[in-house]
Amino acid sequence: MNADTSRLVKGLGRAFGGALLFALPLFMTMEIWRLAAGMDRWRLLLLYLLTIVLAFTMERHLGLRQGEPDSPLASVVDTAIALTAGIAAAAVVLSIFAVLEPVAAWGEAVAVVALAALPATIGASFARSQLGLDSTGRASEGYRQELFLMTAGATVFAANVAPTEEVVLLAGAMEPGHALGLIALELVVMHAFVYAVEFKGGATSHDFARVLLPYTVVGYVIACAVSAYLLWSFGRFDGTALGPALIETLVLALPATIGAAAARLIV
Amino acid sequence: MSDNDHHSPSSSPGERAVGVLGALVVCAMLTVLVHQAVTWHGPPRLTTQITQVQRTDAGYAASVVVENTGGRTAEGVHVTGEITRENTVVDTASTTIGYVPPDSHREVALVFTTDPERPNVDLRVGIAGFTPM
Repeated sequence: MNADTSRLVKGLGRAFGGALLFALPLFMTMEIWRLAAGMDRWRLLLLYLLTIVLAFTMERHLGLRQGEPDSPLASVVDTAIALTAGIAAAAVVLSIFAVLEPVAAWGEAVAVVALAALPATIGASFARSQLGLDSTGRASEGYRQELFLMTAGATVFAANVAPTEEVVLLAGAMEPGHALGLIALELVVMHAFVYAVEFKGGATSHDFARVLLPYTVVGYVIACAVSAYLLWSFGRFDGTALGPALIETLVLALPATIGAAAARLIV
Repeated sequence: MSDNDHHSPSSSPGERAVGVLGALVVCAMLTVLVHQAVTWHGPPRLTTQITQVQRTDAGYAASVVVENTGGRTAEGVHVTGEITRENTVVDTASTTIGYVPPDSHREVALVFTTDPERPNVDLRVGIAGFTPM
């Protein structure tokens, strides 16, 4: 096997594995089959287009060609490979579980795979981004890239939970006091992760405050925005008043916050 | 991790081939989703059709295909059936389907104690209710 073939096989294998690692919980969640069948098609289309944009941006800024001469074509190829791995993982797993009937109900199958492809493709991109790196650090250290990385992490974690009925049920059971406690928990978790990533070698109390606004608070807002967008896409806000919709967003923001914070540890 | 992994100058032919394949699949999926977005309009429109009746241990199972030709998914579709003799209902059965998406169908079985294929009896099936998604 020559070097190019070895690299291709290694890249595809890692992408497929990353897709399974990040999206298997969603593949095995029954709500996505129903949501994919029933959700507004323009919203599903927008979600799928954003999946492609997110994957492209990840490959562009965090991908395995980081540090090489700028090549948009190579980024497009890498994006297509990540999308292929995400779609293949969703199609294979859901077909084996007999969720998909690719021949008899191919229209439904396309919708389910498009929905499942969101975390699967981002997972594939995360895994591929590790291929071009050694263990000494992240490919990208700029603030914009950090925020983008948090967005991707929030998306992949929130996408696994957003379709579930539990988000709505938990929000329905919570009182305003619970919601305030949840916000406090999410901010503490976010700040703990940020602090751990930023100051592995030791920090002062001044550093603790310095990252609060640009990373913890901004990261938390990103996690909430991603959560709200996903819930809107799945129709969870339809016919729902602002108050319950806000609490649903806060509930989903917990996994989104952990995803946003942990993404900076992973990549 | 080898240096080769770090410094491949650009995509290899194999990577480009997989990339083209992936792009084609993505374009095909986008085409399907756009087509669905443009053509799916209006509420669910459900039709029922009895395809066969089989004798089983539980009774006479009438297979019913429920098709949705409308523009939205119907959730919790309640399918009912009744057997009448001389305008008198002699047997009923019902079941619920989780959901039926547009352009799709689902098959269910309604089980009766009376043979619906006996002479002088009529079997009628219909939809008692559903929730549009």
